[in-house]
Amino acid sequence: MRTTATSTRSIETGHGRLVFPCFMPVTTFGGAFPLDVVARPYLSRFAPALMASHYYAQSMKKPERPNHPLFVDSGGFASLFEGSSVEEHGDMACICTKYGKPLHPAEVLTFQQEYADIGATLDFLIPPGTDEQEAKHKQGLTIKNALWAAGHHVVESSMRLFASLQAWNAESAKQITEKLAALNFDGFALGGMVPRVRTPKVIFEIIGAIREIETDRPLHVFGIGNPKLIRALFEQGVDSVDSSSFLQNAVNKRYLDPHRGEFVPLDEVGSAIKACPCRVCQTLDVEYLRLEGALNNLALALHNLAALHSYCGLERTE
Amino acid sequence: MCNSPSVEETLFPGAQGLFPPQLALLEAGYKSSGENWVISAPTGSGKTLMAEWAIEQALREGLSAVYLAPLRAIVHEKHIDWEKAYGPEKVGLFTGETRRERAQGRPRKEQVLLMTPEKLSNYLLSWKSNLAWLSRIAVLIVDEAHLLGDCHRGAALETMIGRLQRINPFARIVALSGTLSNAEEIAGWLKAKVYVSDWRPVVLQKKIVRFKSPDQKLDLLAEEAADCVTGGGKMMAFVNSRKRCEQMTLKLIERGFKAEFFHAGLGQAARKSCQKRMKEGAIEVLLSTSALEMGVNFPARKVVIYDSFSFDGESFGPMTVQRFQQCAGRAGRPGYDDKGEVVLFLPIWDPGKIDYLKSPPEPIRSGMFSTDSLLREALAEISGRLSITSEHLETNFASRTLWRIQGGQHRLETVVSSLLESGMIREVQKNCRTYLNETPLGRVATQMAVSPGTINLWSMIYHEWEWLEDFDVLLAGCLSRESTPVLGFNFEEIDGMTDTIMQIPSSILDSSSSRLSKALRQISAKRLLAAVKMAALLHQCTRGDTLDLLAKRYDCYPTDLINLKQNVAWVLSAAERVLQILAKQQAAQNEPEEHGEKEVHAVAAEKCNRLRLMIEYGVPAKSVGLVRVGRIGSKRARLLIAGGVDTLAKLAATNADSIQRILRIRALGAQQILSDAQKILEEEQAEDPFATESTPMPLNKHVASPWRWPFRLDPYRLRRALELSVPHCSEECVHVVGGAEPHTVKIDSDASHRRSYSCDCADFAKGTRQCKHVMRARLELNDDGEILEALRLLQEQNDRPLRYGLSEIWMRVGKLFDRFTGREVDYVGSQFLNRARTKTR
Repeated sequence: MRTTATSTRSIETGHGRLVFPCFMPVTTFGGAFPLDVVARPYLSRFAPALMASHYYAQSMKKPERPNHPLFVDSGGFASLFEGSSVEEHGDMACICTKYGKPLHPAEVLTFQQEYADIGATLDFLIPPGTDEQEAKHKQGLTIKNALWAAGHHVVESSMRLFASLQAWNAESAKQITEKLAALNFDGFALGGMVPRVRTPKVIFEIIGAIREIETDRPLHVFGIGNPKLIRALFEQGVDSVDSSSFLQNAVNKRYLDPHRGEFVPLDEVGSAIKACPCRVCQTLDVEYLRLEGALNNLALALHNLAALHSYCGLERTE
Repeated sequence: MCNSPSVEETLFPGAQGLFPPQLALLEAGYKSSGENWVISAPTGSGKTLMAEWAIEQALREGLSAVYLAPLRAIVHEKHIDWEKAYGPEKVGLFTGETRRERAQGRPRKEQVLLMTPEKLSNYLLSWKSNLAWLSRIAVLIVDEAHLLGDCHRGAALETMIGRLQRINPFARIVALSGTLSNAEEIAGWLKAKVYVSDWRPVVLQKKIVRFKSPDQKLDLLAEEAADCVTGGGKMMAFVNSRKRCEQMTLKLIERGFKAEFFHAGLGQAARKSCQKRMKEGAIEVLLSTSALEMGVNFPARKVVIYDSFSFDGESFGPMTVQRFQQCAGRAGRPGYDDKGEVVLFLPIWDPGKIDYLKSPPEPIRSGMFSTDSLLREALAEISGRLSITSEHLETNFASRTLWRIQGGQHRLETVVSSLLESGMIREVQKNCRTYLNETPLGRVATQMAVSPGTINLWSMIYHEWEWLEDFDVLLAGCLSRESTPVLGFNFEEIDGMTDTIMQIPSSILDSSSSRLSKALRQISAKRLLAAVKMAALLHQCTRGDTLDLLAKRYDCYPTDLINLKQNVAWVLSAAERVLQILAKQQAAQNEPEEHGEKEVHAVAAEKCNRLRLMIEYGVPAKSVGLVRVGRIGSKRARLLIAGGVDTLAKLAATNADSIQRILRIRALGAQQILSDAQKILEEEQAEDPFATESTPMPLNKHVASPWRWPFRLDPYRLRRALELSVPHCSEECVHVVGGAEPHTVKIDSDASHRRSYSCDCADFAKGTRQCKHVMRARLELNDDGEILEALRLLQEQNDRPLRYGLSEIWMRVGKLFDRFTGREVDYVGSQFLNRARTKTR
């Protein structure tokens, strides 16, 4: 039996009303991932909003801006790049990488206000195993940047500002949420959970702690593409997630079984494809999906996306 | 009394007034299922509404719908209707026909897109740059889907549907047709649901009217017309030639009917005006060729199919049931008439092998069975990067075609080898895999939409002839498949054409027939003769003869010449690129001292460009430089020529005031034209390269004497006799078919068993005792001594240059004689040719 998350939240954006729960497919700009370019026009058929990282979104040309709600995250993962460092500047902190100019909260916010419907504040990832003191320091900087962004967010902007959250357990989640829930953010976006997907219990505890304090506003979790985990998160009170797993698995020739919610090698799919009700599987066949090629990969990616929506009970009703 | 709603109304509110096929589709979930559908239902059964339901579903989803129809007339009609229904901002016409459309480029915000299959096919080949709107297609409606079986356009439609399904797997396919006997098979290919109905809103009565001899047909037609018109109806009659269409119209006018004719030779304005008058009811009887068979909505209560034989571009054959049903579909249109009638004229002795009234139409057979189509579509796959290896060609392309379902087993390795051999694709090794890439030659074929056969033709001509004159370039252009319409070449034209080409410098015309047969082996003799005529016509056109004059001289229509000019100009622009590429490749291979040859071929490419400009803009050779200047088109070029400025050099030397005065334009524009002209001339090193033209060739008095025919039998009629068939033969009469009309030859025998023959054809009536039907009857009855002698002579080979050998080639036009194809095909006259050879031995 399929479970549909219970969220009944929604927010107004510059590109229409965004109704939760939803999965936001990740897209990139600038040609680093050619499959993204061909897949992007189809994403809005499934998903009510798209996700782009500030890092890649900067390469977006104006005509490429999807005519669809767009969530631009801060690109805080750059703090994990080799040779990166975090620098504090008074009431904010920025990321310096060896690749270019520092990633500054002001730069992120300005870009988001120009292009995004939803933007998340610049955060600093705390991977599992991080020293407690270091973790607390990074969480403190994440809070600092969120407060800075809340103070500088242009009131006239239609962009909805989500406060980025970083936590490693229930207690740390409680602390950051308490500090930011008092401010006028439109929602919250929890980062740093991707390295913790093998310990979902930790993720559930963190979410539980957040939801204990913040019950009304939307909660997004970055980077979750495992269909089973997505379903569980929605049941835990998460409103939206994002991932590019449907694309990455397509490139690796892995097929999302819409009944089991698992990505399996295409060679093992067999006749299951005939039972898949998605339009791709009804139109094309496994031999076609198996071949390398831009359109072959696109078809598999679109199946994966359709199957993910079907498995999570997110199929759109027009 | 209780007015309870019907079951249909309860289930489908608003269903009242729907036709049974529409209700059946609603019940089957057509509107909501989102599945592919193949729908075969007669004309007038409401297929347009079915298309509109699919369109409206797409609009509700915020997506778009593409409507395809094979004829621009149908697309235009729907465009007008749907602009009113959905709003002009939502509806876009993309047929590439008008300048406005071309300027519009690709679809942007429109949601109802009307196109021809070829236009969508082009968009799909550059799918990456069109993805923004292709991805938004929710439904593709293929109207007149029986076009899939068209030998010229079917393959493109078939592969186009397959490509769209790969580029946008969400696009729903709705195929509509009035005549699909293998709808189930088509549906299997499209993984579609199928609906077949023979319900018509207006009952159609069908009858066959028999005639004893063809000269009765006019009276019969007049009777049918009188019967229809007296009852207040309008009538359409389908005939098998334009000439006949016009002649019959005049005869009906003489008999007091308000009659008009319609065929593709008419100009656009005349066609539109005729359609308008017919719709308004101002025409009582409209005679038409096949031009009006499909899709049009005319108030014709009765349809008469005057000719049961139709011309397929090669020869006359019995009309197909498919075509009969298409014509019949024009009768009794809902909203115009409450009943319809179809009358088919057949000879009294017709054996009835085809039961037109009861038989289903012939099944649609994939157009990919043509090797040329297969090559073209495989090349398009590779050029469009839709298939990048042989494996992709098989899995992505071939295995997804109707052709494969219908048993097309042509090995794709052969197709790939052929494309590799002709230099249109190349193999690239990467990561231990062999990828297929298009070459510059292949790119020309795809970008310019010319067939691989055309590229091969130009490549062969490039390698076979060292020097090409203007006429040779035009002849090669006219031999290309895209150069349509192909003008017929008649026996009566041989002498005049020989005189015309005698003084035209040409390397190809001076080539012996054996050389030609080797070099042009894929071109039939019939096509070669037609191309000589077309090239001669265009050659005269480039020397200032007007289209009206040429149309009169060559017994064709100005519209045909306009289309021919456009198509040959298009081929020449592709040929220019082909010759440039070949010259470049040759230069790269040659030693430095051999470069003289490269220049010769570079000149041929320039000739293509010059002749294209001359044809396209209608300017003489010396004035071609004018149209190379920006802002100067045909109109301004003609004004300049009339004003004495007839070369680029003169234009560059004149002053801006004169240009302003001649062209009646602003000073700034005149100044820009002048500076452009000066710049071009400067780049060409102060010499207009196009200002010279070849001089006429002196008449060679030492040529072999023309071919002489030693028999009393007319060779023209004899050759035509070989193309006729005999469906029935007895001691008293022979029925002969295969021409425009079926005829009966009667036989009388005297006491000494000597036979005498008489035929009911017009030729015999004029005094030709040995008409083609009589000759055919004699062959059938083995009363053929002299005929076999003549046939033996027909098969003798001479090796005269083409310039002097038109009559010989004409005699060999029959399919078996066709030494240019190098193939023997099933040919009705072959038995007699064999008999002639055997008897001689």
